Amino acid sequence: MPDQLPIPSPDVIPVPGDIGMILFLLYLTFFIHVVLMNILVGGTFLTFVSEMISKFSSNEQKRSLHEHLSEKLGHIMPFMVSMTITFGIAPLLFVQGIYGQFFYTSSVLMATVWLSVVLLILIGYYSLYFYTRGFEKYKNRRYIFISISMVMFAVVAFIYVNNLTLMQTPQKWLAIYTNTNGSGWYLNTDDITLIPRYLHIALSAIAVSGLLVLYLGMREKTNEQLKPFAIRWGAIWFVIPTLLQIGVGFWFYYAIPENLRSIFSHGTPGTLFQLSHVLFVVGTICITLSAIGKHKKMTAWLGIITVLLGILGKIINRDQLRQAYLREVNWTFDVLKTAPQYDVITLFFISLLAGIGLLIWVLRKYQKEVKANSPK
Amino acid sequence: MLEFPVWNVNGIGGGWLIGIIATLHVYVAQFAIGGGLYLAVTEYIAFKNNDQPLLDYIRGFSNFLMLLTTVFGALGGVGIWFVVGNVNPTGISALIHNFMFFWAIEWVVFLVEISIAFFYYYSWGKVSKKFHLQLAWLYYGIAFMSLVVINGILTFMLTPGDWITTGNIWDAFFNPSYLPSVVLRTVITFAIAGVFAIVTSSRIKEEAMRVRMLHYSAKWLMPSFFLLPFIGYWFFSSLPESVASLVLSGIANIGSGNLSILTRLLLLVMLLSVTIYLVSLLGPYFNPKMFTFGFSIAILVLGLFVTGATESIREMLRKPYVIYDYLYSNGVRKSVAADSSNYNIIMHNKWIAEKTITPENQKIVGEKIFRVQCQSCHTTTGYRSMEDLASGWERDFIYRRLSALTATGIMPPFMGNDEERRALAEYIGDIVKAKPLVAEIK
Repeated sequence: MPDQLPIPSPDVIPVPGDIGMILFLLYLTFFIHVVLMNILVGGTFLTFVSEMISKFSSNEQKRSLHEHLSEKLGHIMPFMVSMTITFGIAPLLFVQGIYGQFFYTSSVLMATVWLSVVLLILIGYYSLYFYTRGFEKYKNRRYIFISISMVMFAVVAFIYVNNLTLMQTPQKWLAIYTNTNGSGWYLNTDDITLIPRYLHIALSAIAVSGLLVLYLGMREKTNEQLKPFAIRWGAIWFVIPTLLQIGVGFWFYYAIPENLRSIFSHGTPGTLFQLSHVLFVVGTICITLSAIGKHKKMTAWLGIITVLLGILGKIINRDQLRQAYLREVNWTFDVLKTAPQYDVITLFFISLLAGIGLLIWVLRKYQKEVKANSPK
Repeated sequence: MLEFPVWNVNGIGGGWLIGIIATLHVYVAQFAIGGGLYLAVTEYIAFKNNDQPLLDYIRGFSNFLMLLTTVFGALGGVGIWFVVGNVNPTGISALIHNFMFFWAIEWVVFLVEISIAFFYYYSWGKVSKKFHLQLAWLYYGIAFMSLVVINGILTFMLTPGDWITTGNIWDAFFNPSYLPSVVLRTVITFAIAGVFAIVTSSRIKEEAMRVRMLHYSAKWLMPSFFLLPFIGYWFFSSLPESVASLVLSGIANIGSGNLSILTRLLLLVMLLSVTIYLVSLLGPYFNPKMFTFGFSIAILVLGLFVTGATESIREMLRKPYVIYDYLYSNGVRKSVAADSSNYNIIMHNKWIAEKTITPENQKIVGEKIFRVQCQSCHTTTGYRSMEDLASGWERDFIYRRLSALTATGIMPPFMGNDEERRALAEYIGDIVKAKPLVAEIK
């Protein structure tokens, strides 16, 4: 490691698990977090769009359909806040366990901004609460609440991108620390990958939320008009951001230094990179086909699943790129000592399985009971 | 902080920032647990007696619990994590490297807890009474498990026990104060549930029902009123002798600085707790008719103060460590500090660009050393400020005082050689506007 870079030494307490296993858990939990986060960030955006159409459209039928849709979408969002935070905890834990030297440092360098996310999420959540609980009561003003939530979550995502890009460029740290005098007021805006990376995620969030709208349409049983409308509207909001993603994707790719992006032209990262693109193309075709003419449920599901798999591929690629960045400062996982606590790890997997089992039991029993108790 | 940069928080300082977030989180998290038991027991009573008004009340209470805990509780936990990572990254790193998979278990437990909370809340009126009650008990059981797991990590910081020598994770988790702390916190959760329930009860419009629920909710504070003195004694007797002596000498020796603060805090906790119990007894328990929403908020706020004060005590008892006997509050490991006076801080610290001290850069280096070694607990002009603590001190006295920091019993040793100690003394001397050294005037 070059002496002049202020990279903290690894913790003297060894990493308590095998690096490969921790990476596996990181990818898996981060994948779930990303999908939920996409639904939250993009979902509040689409709720906002739908709310605005329901308010300002000159077409009465359109207004009515969007009023239903924005209410439906809005009701899911508070739950998504809770789930996104909870599913963020696990990847945050694993990332700190293996990349702590970098993650803590970048967090401290932008500490004031970083800590503000807690407050921003809180404002975003309670604003959502007012939006959903006061849907009728604040009929004319409720757009203010959804606007606040949308802005809060978009800003939080932006702050995250700042920290996670800053953590992989230790070359800049000392100058930042000196210039800010440790005040923690820093945004990584001079990183040329920052804006395309953020747009990449923002578009992905809108597209995934489009899939949510499509799914809500597929599940719609009571409102005959809303069903085809939500399917089409959702598919459109999936397809358009995905097409725009091609442009942003190229921008992001070419913003990454050539020696680093070259990892995507060969080996496992390269295969995964190409494979996820193939999955996105297949997914986009399926989603488009499912929404044209008579709705095809199986095709839509095939589309959703392939897109989700594509996202998983991108998440692994994202970490491979981070490792490439860190290799630039001569850091690899080899510097970390490991001493797996197999007994605690076993206990973790047992608790995970037991937890999932319990939730499945509760879900099934809940469905059965709701069915038995609902009016025939 | 020898490895990481230091977040420069003046004013209230990093410690207070952690304290505020931690207090809010602990209060809400303990309500999430005690509130779960309150839900289950009260719903059981309502079903047993076929009591519709009580069911309506408990449904409203579950809405309140959901709103507060599923987001505020989760976010508070993440908030503590963020702020501790910013203020003391070495400390949080040590905890995560030790307890990564216990934390992962805690995450599973929390995930199940909030999922069941959602099932419970959304199934009101949709499922059988039996199943709904089962969900309430399940929620409480899982929420209690979250206490059982996180308690191992929290108590480890104060009493790492045999882990210091064995390095064994089970020694770390089941440490000497683990069991008394679980029992202590469990009993406190009943009281906090009672406090929150008094607030929701005082909002009931119909008088007879309000009176009934206030009386009922006040009972929830009673177990802790009678048990806490005993459990508190058990907890204190599980602490290492040096920690216990800090408490005792604090009581016997009301002097300056931290000891007196600790003593005052202990007294404050006792007084406030007794006030809460007395107000609850005289108000909602004996005179529920006269009891108003305003009073209930006063109890809620007092409870928050008690939580804050007890969390501060927990932090102060650890002094000068963040992980007792292992890691000092300023992020220096005890083993590294063994030869503190020969340590060359500016050579070792990657965030101090100056590698030699000259008359020109002496005070700049002094400031950087202050930030690295002192700022985790002190500020220049804000909380625990040098301006106050070193007021009236001469530069030479500051310099000599820096070599005897450990004598206070609550401070880590100064890590640095003679030249570095002088640089820091000069910087602090400037803060308190001490006269220049006689040697310098000549």
